[in-house]
Amino acid sequence: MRTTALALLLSLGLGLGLGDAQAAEPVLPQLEWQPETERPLLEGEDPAAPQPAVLLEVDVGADGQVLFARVVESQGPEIDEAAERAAMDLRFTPARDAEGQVTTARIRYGLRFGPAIGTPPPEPEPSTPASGEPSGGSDLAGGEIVVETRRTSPEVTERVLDAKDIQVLPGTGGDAVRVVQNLPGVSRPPVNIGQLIIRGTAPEDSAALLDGGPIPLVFHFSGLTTVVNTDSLSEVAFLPGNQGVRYGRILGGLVDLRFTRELPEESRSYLSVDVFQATAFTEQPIGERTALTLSARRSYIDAVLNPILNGGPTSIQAPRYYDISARVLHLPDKGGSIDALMLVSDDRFRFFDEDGVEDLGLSTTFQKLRFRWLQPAGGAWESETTLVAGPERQSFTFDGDGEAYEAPLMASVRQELRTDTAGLFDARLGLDLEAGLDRFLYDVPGFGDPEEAEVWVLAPAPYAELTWRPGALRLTPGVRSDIRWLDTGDILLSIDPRLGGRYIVNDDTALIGGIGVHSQPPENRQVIAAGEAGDTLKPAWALHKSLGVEYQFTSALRGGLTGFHNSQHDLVVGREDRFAFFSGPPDFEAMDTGAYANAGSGLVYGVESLLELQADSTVGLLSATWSRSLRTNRDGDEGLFRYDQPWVINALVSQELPRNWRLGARVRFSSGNPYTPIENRIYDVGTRSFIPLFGETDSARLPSFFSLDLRVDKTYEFERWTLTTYLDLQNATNAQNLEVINWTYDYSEEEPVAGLPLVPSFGLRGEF
Amino acid sequence: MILALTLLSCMPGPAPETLIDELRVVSITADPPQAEPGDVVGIDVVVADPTNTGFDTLIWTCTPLGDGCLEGEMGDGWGTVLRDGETSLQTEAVVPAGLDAVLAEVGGTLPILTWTLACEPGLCPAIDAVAEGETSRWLDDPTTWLGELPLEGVSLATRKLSVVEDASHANPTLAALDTLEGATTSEEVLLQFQLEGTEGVETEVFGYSTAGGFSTPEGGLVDVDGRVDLTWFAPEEAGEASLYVVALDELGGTAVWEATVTIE
Repeated sequence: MRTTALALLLSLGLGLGLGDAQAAEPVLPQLEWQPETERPLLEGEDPAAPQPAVLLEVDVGADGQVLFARVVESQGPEIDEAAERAAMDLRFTPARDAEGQVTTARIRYGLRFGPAIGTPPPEPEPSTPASGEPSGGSDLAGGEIVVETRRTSPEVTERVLDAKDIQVLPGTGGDAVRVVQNLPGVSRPPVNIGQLIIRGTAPEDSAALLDGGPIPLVFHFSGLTTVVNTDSLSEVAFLPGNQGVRYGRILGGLVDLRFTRELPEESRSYLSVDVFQATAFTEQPIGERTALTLSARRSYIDAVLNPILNGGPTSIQAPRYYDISARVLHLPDKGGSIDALMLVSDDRFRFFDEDGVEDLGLSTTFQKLRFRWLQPAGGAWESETTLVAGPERQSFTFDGDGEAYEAPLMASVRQELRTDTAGLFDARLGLDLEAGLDRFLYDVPGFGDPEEAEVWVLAPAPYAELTWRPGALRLTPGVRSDIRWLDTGDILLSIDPRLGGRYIVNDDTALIGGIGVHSQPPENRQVIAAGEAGDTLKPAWALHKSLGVEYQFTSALRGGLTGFHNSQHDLVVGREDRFAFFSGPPDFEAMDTGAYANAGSGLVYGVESLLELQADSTVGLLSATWSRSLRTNRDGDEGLFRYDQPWVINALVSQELPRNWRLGARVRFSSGNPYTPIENRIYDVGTRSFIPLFGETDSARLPSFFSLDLRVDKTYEFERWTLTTYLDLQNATNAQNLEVINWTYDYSEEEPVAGLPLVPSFGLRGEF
Repeated sequence: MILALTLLSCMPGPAPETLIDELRVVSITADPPQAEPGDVVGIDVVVADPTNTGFDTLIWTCTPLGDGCLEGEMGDGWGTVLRDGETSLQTEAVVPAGLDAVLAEVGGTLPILTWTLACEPGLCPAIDAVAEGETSRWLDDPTTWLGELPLEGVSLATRKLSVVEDASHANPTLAALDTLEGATTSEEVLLQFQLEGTEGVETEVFGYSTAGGFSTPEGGLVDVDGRVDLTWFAPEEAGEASLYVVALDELGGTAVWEATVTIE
């Protein structure tokens, strides 16, 4: 079989010189061994007729073994099954990336049934033609291998999760971002509500993106599911820190939800129902170069629970959410892609009093249009143009008396030019622009003077990055500048220089490291409030430093160990404590309710470790993080950050069993959050109220968290459709994990609030 | 998270906030409720001891000007220690003289704090120390040592006494319209009171008991004639219960009614 390489990583040439310092060329997998195979003879088929090759998509592991194979162009279920089975016995030489490191590769292979080809392992043979004599009339007479190895990412630490793997992991409900919570560097959110706490930073200091564009909310209120259907995604990227200059305006890390840029081979649709929600999904190719994807989800746990919860004078409306997405992907003849997405999300959660008046209400809603255009820009350059725009509103009502909302009308535009040749140099130039009208109101009891304004915002952020690959070393220096202009006349400026690096020690080992400045502007309402008080605010900034090692133990097992040290400066303090989360009763006397000022600082340091297993039928992950997160307030007093969790350990495994069964388990352990204890209380006879006497701030800690989750899947294959059933037991041991310390009204004893007990979730998914 | 939500509702029966099940200072009454500089003020304290363990009591006032209390500079006699375990106690306090200039600066009203500490015998070093004459360290700021005491067997209460230029307000009076002879288990008992001396002054009336409980922690409504009704739920077990009804007006006036009831 003639092999033609159409590797995405091959250099088209920058003309920057080739010499001894040139980076290695990528190396494609070459077939070493195909055992004798026999093609099933279909009824009425002439055994003497030419037998076309079966086109398969094959994942080749770092040791050359086949990890996964699926038929791309079906020739009937019997032949498809025989081809996929035969493909699992193929052996290839491993692929190598542009840095010379062995890597997994996804290729397309035309398999012809017949006599054995090559030599059986373990003795590798030079690559040989893979087929017998080509026969006339076959479209795949020469065969074709197309390498679709992953682009070489310039990021220091970028953990990418494949959407397919996500769906079978236990305890996560098949949700992309919930899987991220199992990775090192991510602390457990309080009450499991789905916030991202990355390397000791607050949830508001990290970001969720859609292909690099911001979205206001990553989880629906329940914390059960992301606002984007995982089936719409190709992968989820998690960057815990030291990210490149493409990303900015955050002190912490980010999650980037990435849509596929491949057209579906065939139509696919499914309906699924479980305890919490119903989902409808369809993916339809339109012609040869276009595809349409539609998804809709709606929770109904409120419809089940509300009649029960509304039995008394004061009632709760259980969280209700829905999301709808529609996407059109078009691949033009000249290359690149055009992608238009509409995403609608709505979340609501309310308490009502006995008169039907809303006591407390929370809601988040947004409607976003995202347009993304990737196109060749001449030579090795590629252009990316992304626009995200649409209204959003997050609101909070309190006791019919207080109200708070944020309702920005913003657009985000990114224009980037980049090369990705894996050659000696690559470059990235871009402009990340946000503009629009920010509208907000904060007028709630206890907050103090209301904050309300409508302000126009223009925030351009140009950035530039160079990747240099002298031999086994890769260095990526870059710089980003964030400018924020408000129509109040306030202008904020930050300049973030960053440097990332990677050094290939040998085939199995790589060292990674990075150092860089990461700035985050204050909220617009903070800037305006400070301005009205005659003060000015500037962006907070953090200096990220990390150093680590990655090691490939075997073809299926790899690991990494990373140390990080992040110092935070010019943090905005004042009034903000009113909206902070506390694991115990808040000590209002100790809160900083003064005017906003850049008077805070922080320090986060720790070590992360990760082991990943990707074997034939087993997926596993073990992550452990030790860290400390500290904050220093306006008065110079240092203390623990409210989300400080010294230990976070997660272990997951999912095993494929015969007859389409799959079994999975997850164990989670994490330290409890700190809280301020109550040592005694004073009874105010005049107001008939008990006043708590607090101990030292954050000197107590909640008990550690432990949870065992189990999952079992069974798939039934029918002629035209498949049915998958699953049972997911979260907290299978019914551990009583304390989430919040509450007290009786007279502070005579604690009334801890436990998290979720054992929660069984049963679901059905019919795919056709 | 959904399963962790709880239903919030008011169920019929005694409100738990009205039950006193441990040592507690129920009321602190200053007579008069407003005083002028140099006045001698009577202080009546009611303490509930439902477990009958006995207690010692320390009563003092604090005029917070500058560091510490002004009373600490006035010589001996600061703070009164009572060890007889009586649930109704009386003492006197002298409002510091020479506050006229301060009153003018603060708009004519200066709050001083009256404190009462009730402790099971031996639990509170402050009581023994003050009895020995060591006052400032313990009386200037009780929050500096309160955290070292246990939650059970200790009750520290405070009440603001207003020092004004012209004190004219008097405490209201609260009288039961019927005599409560006794009750049966789980009986709903209607208590009716007549409140006097609250004309033109907003007043609230609340009930507490050492067994059973009152129907609501929000108190009873006082009608235009000064009548107020409260419902007390007798406990399900026979025994004795102490009932306390406290009237508080917006000018610091207090009236207390208490009774001991046998439940059969």
